[in-house]
Amino acid sequence: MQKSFRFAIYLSLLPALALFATFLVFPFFTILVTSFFEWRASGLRFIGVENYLELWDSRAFPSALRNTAIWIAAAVLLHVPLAVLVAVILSRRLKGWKIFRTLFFLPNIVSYSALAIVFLGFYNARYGALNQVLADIGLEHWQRDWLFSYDTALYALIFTWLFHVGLYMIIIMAEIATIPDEIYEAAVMDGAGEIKQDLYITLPLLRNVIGTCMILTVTQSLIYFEGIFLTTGGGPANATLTLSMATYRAFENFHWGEANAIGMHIVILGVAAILIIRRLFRIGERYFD
Amino acid sequence: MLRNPMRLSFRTATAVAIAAGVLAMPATRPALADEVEITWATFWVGTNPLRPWGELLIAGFNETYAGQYRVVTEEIPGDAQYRDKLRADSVANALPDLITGNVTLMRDMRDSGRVVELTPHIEGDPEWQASFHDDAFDTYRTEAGELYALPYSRDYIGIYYNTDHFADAGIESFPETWEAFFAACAALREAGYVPMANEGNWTTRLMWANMIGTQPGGADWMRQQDTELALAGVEPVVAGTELLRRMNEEGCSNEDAFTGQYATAATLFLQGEASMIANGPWMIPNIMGVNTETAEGLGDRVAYAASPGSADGRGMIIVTGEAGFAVGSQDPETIEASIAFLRYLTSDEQMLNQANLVSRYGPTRLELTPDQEAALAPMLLSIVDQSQDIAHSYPHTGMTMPNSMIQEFINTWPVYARGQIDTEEFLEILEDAQ
Repeated sequence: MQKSFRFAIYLSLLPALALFATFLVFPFFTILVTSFFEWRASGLRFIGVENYLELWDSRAFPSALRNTAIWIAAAVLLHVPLAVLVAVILSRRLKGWKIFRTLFFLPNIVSYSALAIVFLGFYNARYGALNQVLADIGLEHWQRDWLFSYDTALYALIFTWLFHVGLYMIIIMAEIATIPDEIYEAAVMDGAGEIKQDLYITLPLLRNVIGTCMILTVTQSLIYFEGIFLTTGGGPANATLTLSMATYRAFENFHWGEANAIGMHIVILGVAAILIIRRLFRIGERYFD
Repeated sequence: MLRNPMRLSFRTATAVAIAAGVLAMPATRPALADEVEITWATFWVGTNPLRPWGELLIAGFNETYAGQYRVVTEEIPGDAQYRDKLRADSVANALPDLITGNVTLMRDMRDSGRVVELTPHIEGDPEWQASFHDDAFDTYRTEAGELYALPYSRDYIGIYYNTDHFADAGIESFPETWEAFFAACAALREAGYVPMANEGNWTTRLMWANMIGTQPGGADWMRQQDTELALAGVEPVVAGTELLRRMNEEGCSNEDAFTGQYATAATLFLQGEASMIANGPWMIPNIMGVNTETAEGLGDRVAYAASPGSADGRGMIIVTGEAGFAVGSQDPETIEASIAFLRYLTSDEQMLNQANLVSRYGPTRLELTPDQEAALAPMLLSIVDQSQDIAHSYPHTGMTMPNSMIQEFINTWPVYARGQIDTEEFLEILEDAQ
């Protein structure tokens, strides 16, 4: 390769590398380094791993980890499977499928913040629609302060996000559309019904895209913030506190070093989740490899 | 050649729009050659109730000191956004000349070590110093005697109540003891009203302060500042906290009293659904319907009262310096200009403007003429009048507790109020949050 050509390659890579360094490498190392400091208005003081030890010793952080784990479990076990189910059903192009596709995608064009405010009203203990409906159908004893009761808050909040499957549904439907018709035709000739076709042809061929959706939903769950911030703020008694909300709280209390220590947990968990999901779903490998 | 009439009208419209934009621009001008320009980062913008006073303040200062000093604003809507920005500025050593905010932000500024010590400036002007109440500087004075911010408020915080609701429920006067308060709650609930508007944050913490402050020894406990607060096992705190829980247990509160959002409580009271709400006098304009949708004629049906108390008398939250100004200037010229601004801020003229526009007194000994007094809101005058013969006065938790403890209160109060944890555990959790 000619020297000048190699130089041109490096030169053309420079803008991308500069952006990568500015917006990813620099912030990452800032978070990593400052997580070992007490960072307050008066400046920085090196304190080793004290921020991490204090986190693990606190009441709130273990709750944040547990709640984040529950949220991720809901994402993996319910959110993506729901998207797959909807995508598979709609891909059969039954009557009215386009309307349902639009309906499922609609929440994706509404901001989480707006939805959070809507759900704040929906769950309200005094005038909320949910309690009204329960009263109308004779289930008054089920009425409660859904978002501010310890036992129901996290699940009520997860529920607001669970049906937000439009994006994954569209991605999976696009993948289904690429599966050659011949495979299904051969299956029909072998006597396979629709359910068998889905179980033995569609789902295995969706392995890559489902893995991708899993990565997206898990990483999104790790950093999901707006809906919690605008409704429960992580309460009551940390029942809805997640890692991202805990980061914000630490930031609000001017404990920036501690906030960055929580940030490091998010980074580590995110990387671990990506590696595990890639391995489990063998992302990148073709089905017949 | 024929011109396209659409294009012509578009050009004309554009030109008109630009001209209108230029004409509508605020009358800002660059500083004159010898004028010292200072920056005031402010959240007194948009719908903030302090905005009208802020506008008068800026216009008045720039006119009074024309050619010498000039203040320009950096507008940051939203007090939370303002606080975050100022904290970042302090870390970056890039504070604006003038910073305003509540005691939490002022303490952050103090901790940054990057705000001006005001004592020499105040003591250097005996007339200015003498204009303040004796306790005016207590909030912002460090243990070493340094003054890191100047207060601009002196708040008399009571409980608003709807006189129509009280009459309906057969209650003749505002309760003077806590037992009478709970009896009034029961009567109001019986009459179909929400007795007390709460949200699990600000207004609830005001009631908490009243319930602690009116216990024997409670006011002294409430006056502690800048110390590691002990709560668990402290008698007035335990008794006051249990009273607060009783308020919830006996149905004194609204069902949605745990949102942590002020609007939950305020809306209930302003719409005439709740009978009482604890809040400061700055709520008076809202009650009177200024920039607020209220139940019709609400302003005529609301009175303002001191808190119920124990057997020895009633209580009231009286706070000087809940809000203040700090100076972030770094060179002598801008420091001097900023001090001139603070002197102008606390002048009789501006303190009167504050009382008129925000229904809030300042930290100075403002002598009002009968005409000036008559122009103030009767509810404001009433609460100040009641403050003369109360048994207990004390600050509120926003003054005494660090932000982390207040956050923990909002977080844990719902489970305590519902009896899922006991008083000792609740208070220990709050203590640990310091």
